[in-house]
Amino acid sequence: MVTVEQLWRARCGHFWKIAVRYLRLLANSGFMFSLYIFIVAGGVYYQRWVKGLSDAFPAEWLLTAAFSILIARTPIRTFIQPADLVFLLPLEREMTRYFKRAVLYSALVQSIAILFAWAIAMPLFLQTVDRRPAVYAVVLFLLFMVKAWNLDAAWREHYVTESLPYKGLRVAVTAAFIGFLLFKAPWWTLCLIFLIMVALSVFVYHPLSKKHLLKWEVLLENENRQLARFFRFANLITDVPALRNRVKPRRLLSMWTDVFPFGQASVFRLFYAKTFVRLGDYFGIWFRLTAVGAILILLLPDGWPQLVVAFMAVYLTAVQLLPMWRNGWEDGPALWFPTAPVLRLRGFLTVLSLILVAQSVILSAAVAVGRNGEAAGWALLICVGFSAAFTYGYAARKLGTAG
Amino acid sequence: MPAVLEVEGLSGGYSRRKEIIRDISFTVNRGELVGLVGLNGAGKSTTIKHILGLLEPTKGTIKVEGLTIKEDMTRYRSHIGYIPETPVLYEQLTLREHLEMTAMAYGLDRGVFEERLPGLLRRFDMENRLNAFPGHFSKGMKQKAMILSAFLVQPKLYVVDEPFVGLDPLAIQAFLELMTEMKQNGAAILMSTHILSTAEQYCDRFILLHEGRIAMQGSMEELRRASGRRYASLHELYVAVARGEKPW
Repeated sequence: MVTVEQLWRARCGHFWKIAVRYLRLLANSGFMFSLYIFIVAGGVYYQRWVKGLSDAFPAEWLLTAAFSILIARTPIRTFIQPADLVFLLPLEREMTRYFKRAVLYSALVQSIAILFAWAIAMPLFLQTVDRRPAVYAVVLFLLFMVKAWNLDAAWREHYVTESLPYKGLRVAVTAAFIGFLLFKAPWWTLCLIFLIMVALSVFVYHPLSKKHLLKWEVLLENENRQLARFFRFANLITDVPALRNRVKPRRLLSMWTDVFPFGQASVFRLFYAKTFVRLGDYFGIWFRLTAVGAILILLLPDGWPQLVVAFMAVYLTAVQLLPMWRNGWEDGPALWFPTAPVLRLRGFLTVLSLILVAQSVILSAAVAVGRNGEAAGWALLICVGFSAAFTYGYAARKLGTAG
Repeated sequence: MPAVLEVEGLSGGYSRRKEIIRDISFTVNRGELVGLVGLNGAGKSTTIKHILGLLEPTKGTIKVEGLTIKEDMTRYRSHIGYIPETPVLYEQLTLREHLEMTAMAYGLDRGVFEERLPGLLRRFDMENRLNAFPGHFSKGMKQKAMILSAFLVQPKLYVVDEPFVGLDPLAIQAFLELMTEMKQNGAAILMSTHILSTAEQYCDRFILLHEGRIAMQGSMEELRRASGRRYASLHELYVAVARGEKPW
């Protein structure tokens, strides 16, 4: 028998196992290095900027807005999965202990974020709001307190479908408290808002969880959104399998497939052309490499380095587009189409070569911008030649035998 | 005139060592709707996958219009329209693109495609979904997309695997009407299903599969005569076969 506490630990541990793997990749990538540079350089400029601030600068407003958003935004990580809506639903009462852990966990993670933000705000606070470090510390303590209240209230909001009014109320009270705090309103006004918060908890938010049932679908939706956000972040530096098959409609772009005539020969040209435009990041790869290549060519002095850049861009694109052969193909109606297998191969090769030739033309045009007609001719020859050789030599042989 | 589908001594399954179906023989003729009935795991979907050529038989032959798949794969398959048990669609293609692709693959003219499409869409109430992606479809809509593809082609043989799951009553009605029409136009249909009352009402003949073998086959009359139960429904016969009680 698995207790809900064990379930929580297993779920949380599972997420962090994956997260740590991505974070390690992140730490080892160039991204981290640029972040250090950014922090060091930013810190220096920030200090200088704070020193030069005039008294008229609305630091209190700025801090109130920033911390109201940071504190009122309280997504709760629950690590629940779609199947839980079937299997754990009967355990809603027992799950209270599970969700208590979820709220505590979210409190911890979000408090760390507040701590970081407050550390960043330190020079600004000490310069403009109050010089005493003790006040700075006390305000941080009060911010943690408001965060705790927000988490408790936000959790109760998961019991109602129409949660917007409750969210609005919570944001307003939170912003008022932080504002009064930073604008140094008399102490009794803060006490008053504190009493209001307690009253709201007792008479508004807590009754929600007693009167209503938990809205599991909202919970799942929130969980998915947060997980997707993490994956999108990780996707900046590496290929995340969970995002590999995302589809974007791109209606205008996918119209280029109209060049293919209606008929059996076009079936897989159409299929792969749409796959290229819409599935995963294939189009993104092509676009980025083309853009970066073209910009580099424009920046470089006329000559052979431009040709190397053009060739490298086409080469990298070609290699990264090759998995499109399989991706998005498994388990579809084409499995029983009355078409010869070679038709699929031909369709893929046609699309791949068109994509690469289009890129070659764009990059050669970039070379030609420097009024270097001869080099542009060479670039076109090299890139198109490579495209043809890669597609009809290498890819055709590799995929033709792989099936 | 030979049967559209001829299955002769078919044995097979997912691996050579573990055969799921054994020694199955039946035919489906022009203008005939044949019901393939059996418990979960009786071998209905396996039989169907063999007919489509998605699995290779260990023994026996399958002919469609007198042709085995080995002789001419593309011609063999061009005679078959398939509606799978679980709808499979490409996430990156809209409904219209799926239908277009199917039409192209089966060698339809653009004119024929444009002519058949509106009527089919209207019947299944999918006119507003033409440019939507399957990611936004319900189970029933995905199933409708598969049905549309099969009926768009108007093949000689329809192979239909448990089509009713997820469909709303209007869609079921539209589907049954279309099948009847296609049958009248001379199509042969092989349909596996658990909805026995519907099967009894619409099918001309039945194949009762049990543990990979054919337990009984024939028209309702023939099944009743063989079992000696003159007023038995398909449901009763099927339950008797499935429980292994064969008093006849």
